[in-house]
Amino acid sequence: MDILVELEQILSKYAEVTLLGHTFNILPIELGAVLGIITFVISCFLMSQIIISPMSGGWRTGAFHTIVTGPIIEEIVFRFALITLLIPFFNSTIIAIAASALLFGIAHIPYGGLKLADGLIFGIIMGFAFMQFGIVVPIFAHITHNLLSEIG
Amino acid sequence: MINPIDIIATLEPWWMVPIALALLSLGIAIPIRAIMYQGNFIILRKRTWFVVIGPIVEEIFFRLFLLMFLIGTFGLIPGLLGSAILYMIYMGLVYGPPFTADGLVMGVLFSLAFFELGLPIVIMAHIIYSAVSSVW
Repeated sequence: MDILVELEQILSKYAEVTLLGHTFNILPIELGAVLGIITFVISCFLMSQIIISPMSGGWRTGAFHTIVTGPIIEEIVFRFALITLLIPFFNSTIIAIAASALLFGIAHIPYGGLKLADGLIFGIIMGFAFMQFGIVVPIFAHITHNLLSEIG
Repeated sequence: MINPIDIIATLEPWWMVPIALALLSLGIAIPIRAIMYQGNFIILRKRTWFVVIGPIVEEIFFRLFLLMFLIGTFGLIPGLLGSAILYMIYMGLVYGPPFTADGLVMGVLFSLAFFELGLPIVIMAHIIYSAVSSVW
């Protein structure tokens, strides 16, 4: 039960966002939802269509994996592990974020060639969100993004 | 050139080392594998072999026996490359052609980690790698 208490503490800790001179206090789940909607709209513009998830069927391609396990694993691997390990490797935050975003984009090539550019932009936004707010916000943003594409 | 294993080896506590090694290899191997997917997803059926027994057997044979023999025979760099190439062929034959990407990344990174960190850490990293990879 200890881990649940810690999780609740992490989820109920307000993040400070400064936008146009105003400071907002916002829960990480809400900030993630906002970022997810923004990135979904960017993806729709980039693909010039309402994007719909190409995944359907079994365990590794089903809706549960698209919405829950996929985002969590991808964020842990590409943001939490890669950015943390690449910052001392490159001695630069920006290059580490760009490299992890590039790998994230390449990893999404099976969904279509344009997903490379889409994943690059998504990865850069999520990388800065991870550096600013921690791992929870990118996970919720990714879940929102995939949920919208699953519904759409 | 900084060795990424040096960065990983400084992590505290000790069990972060295999987790970080596995996640770093995944982050490099998954994009390369994605290029070789060609739109199709692979679903492994032999999960017990893939996650538990496979890592132990592979690490003992490819790292402890083959890599040591090749390095002793041909020198450091040719031995490392030969071990990585043989491991790529093995992965392609046993798990399917896209997994040659995993073979390349693991053949290089895990061999370097085997020199610096030892066999148990590499086996743990391989088990974590396979477990995450089977959920992916």
